Formats: sequence, C-alpha cells, structure tokens
Amino acid sequence: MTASSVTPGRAIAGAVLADRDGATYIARYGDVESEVRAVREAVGLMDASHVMVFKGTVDDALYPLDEVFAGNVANLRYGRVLHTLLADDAGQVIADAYIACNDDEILVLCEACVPRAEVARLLAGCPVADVSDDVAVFCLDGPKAWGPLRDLAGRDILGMPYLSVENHVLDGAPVQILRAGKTAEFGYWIVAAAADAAKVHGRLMAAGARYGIAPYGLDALDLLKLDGRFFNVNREGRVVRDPLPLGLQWMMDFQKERWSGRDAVLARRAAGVAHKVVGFALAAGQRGVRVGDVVRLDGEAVGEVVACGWSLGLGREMGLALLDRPVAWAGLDFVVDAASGPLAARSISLPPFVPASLTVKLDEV
Amino acid sequence: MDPRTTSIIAERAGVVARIKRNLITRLSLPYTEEDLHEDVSLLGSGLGLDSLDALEVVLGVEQEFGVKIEEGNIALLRSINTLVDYVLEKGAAAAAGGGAP
Repeated sequence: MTASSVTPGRAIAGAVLADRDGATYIARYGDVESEVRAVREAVGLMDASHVMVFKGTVDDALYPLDEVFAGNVANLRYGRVLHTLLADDAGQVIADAYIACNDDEILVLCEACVPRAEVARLLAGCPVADVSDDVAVFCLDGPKAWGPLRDLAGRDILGMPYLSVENHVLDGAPVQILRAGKTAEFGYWIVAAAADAAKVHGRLMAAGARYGIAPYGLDALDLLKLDGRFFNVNREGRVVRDPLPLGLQWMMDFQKERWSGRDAVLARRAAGVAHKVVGFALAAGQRGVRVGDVVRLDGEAVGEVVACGWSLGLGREMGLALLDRPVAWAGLDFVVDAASGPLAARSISLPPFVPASLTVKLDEV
Repeated sequence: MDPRTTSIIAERAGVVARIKRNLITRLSLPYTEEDLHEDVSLLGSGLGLDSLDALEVVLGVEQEFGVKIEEGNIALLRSINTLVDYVLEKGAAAAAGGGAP
C-alpha cells in the first residue's frame, strides 16, 4: 500500500490519514465512536488500503502457499476462503490472512505488522504477484451490510455462506466479493480494480444511504476487533508475537508437515504455554488504561496490558492482557497499575455483547 | 493467592475442561484442550461450526450439565467462555457433579 492508493475520490473530505510501516491509510473520518456505532447498528464502509493483495493461479500457487501459510491451503475448495496466519521463521505472527480460491484464481489478502517487503520475502517461493497497487479493497460491515450489496448485485448475495468468494458486477465494475469480516457483524470484503475504486466506493455509499451507511477508518476497526474478539495483528499482535498465547491455534494446521515457523511453534506448543491473552473490562467510570500497564491479582504482578480501548458494547474501557497461565481465566478481579493510579478491572468472556447481526436472518430480509 | 480467587478459578477450570472435552470428542476436532482458547469463536470465524455442529454442542452441554438451552439461542455459542458463563450462571456445574478435573 502506498500513499497514492488513497485516492482523492475515496478519501472523503476531513479524513485523517496516518502512517504505519511506511504506508498511508485512513485512520478516521471524524468521530471514531460514531463510526463504531454505524458498524454495530447499521453498516460501515472502510477503504482497506492497508491490506496487501497477492494473486496467482490455483494450479501454480495453491501448494506453494500451503507450504508457507499455517492453515491448510491445499484443502481449500473452489469458491471458499481460508482465514489463516503467516509466521516468520521464528514462528512469530507477521500477518493475518484471507486466502480465497475463486475459479482458477487464488487471492491472498494480508493485514501485516511488518512492511510489505517482509511479507513479499516470505512469499518469494510462491508464484503470486503483488497486486496491492492495482486493486482496491473495501470492507462493508454491520447488521445491514447485506443491504447495499443486495441492491447493487442482486439477492444472490444473501445466499453467500461465511468465508466464501464470488464474482459480481457493481454498476458495471467487476468485483470479487468475499463474505468475511473482522468486526463480529456481517461482513463483505470487496476487491475491485484500482481504476474502479472511486466508482465502487461512491456506489456503495449511495446504495447504503437508506441503511444508514457511514465510512469508517482503521481506528474504528481497531475498536471493533477489540470487543468483537478478532485478532488484531497491529495491536496485540505487535506486542505478543507468539500465536499460542494469542489463542490463534484455530488458524493453524498442526498436522501439516511444512509451513513457515512450524518447527518453532510446535516446539513451544510441546513445552506448554506459560501465558495467555485474556479480555478485561475496567469498572464503570474508570479510564486511563494503557498498553504496557502492569496487571495485579491479589497484590502480585501477573501480566501486562497488550491492547485497550473504548467498548461501545460494554460502555466502558476494556482491553486484552497477557496473563500468567494459572490466572488467565474470566471472572477474576484484577488491578491495573495505570499512570493515573490503580484501576479496578475484571477479566471477562469475549465477545462481551451479542452482535446485532446474530439476530438477523438473511433468508427473511 | 486469595482462597476466593482459587475457588473461582477451580470452578471455572472444571467447567471449561468438561466443555472442551465435549467439543473435541463430539466434533472430532484436531486440537488438544490446551489448543482451544476459551474465547475462540464457535460460530463463523474461529472453529467455524455449522448449524449441525452447533446442535451437537448444545446437546453435549445439556447432557453434561443438565441444563436446557433454548432453541435458537445461538448467542450462547459466541465462544467457549460464553457457554461456560451460562453453565455457571445456572449453577449447573456442581449439581451435575462438576468441579476441577
């Protein structure tokens, strides 16, 4: 992703841009809480320019990718999407990835915590091309995310199963639509040619008007991932690089013989995990928790905060803490040593609210 | 550690272990109990259970703990932890002979 791919047509006036690993992305359009609310209650549209995109053919790339990514890429069926991770040689997570098998084409969409060159280095043995500058990725999320797409592409959209991919045309622009998302609400990732980016963005915003659509940026996505309990490679993933304490075992296939970082991960798995990431919420009215704050239980230091933010669903600050394994359980009362003083916190079950999308029946809309 | 903290952990750990064993056995999951994070999503992203799997999980929890999960209450299947909360809230762990393994 380069600064140039946040095109004027997509960067709505007032958007705040920020840099991450040398790339420019849209952090927010205005009030972050309003953007989070739009996704939790209606629909939000994000310009996911930070996502790295690689393309190849199924015939050439499927098995080479299987030897790099931790999930079972080789078993990926046509029309389906795999959610997996990419680790470095030391078994440290560097990217959270969707791999889509769409007809003869295979599409890899990575959110990474390292510069693009590092991801490309790990994929060097795979016959895939980095097309990040040639495509635009949009994320449409929320309990009404189906609305604009149904109106633009037809009712078939409603029948897409979770983690599937299809080709569609949005007002003349060919796109690939992935039924996927990282907010705990209905989600669709839309991949369009860069030349069509402004048009697709505009059509989605226009079609979404009757559903209460609002654009949202990466700052809101960070909060949505936090209380939706989706792994955030750019928050807790930058602090805790080991996928085991992060609870990402479900993204890995331990039976596979080869993938990047496998031996290191399996060695740590055999030795036993000494720490685990657990969610916590501050007591009502308390504020000021920061990443790195020490967490105490019965007076003893037992871990540290690795991600935090405001949860709209809880109506209070919450976070993730890396805790010593014996005390890494929900339902315990901790104290966080914040700069402003001690804060009362309780470890909680995640996600701590019922996403509105769980109550929507797509066959009845 | 405070005895009350120890007691809370023991009660929760017992229910978690029983639910994880149930999941792994009933669904033939290729994971150990330690591999399953308590906050892993059961539906959609995460374990990705389909509707038949979800029914199997509900039946397993109902039989293991003697609780009733209302039909259509898929919100309980957000994660292992949310299922554990439900069992503990119903006070079913001890009644069904639960406790730490």
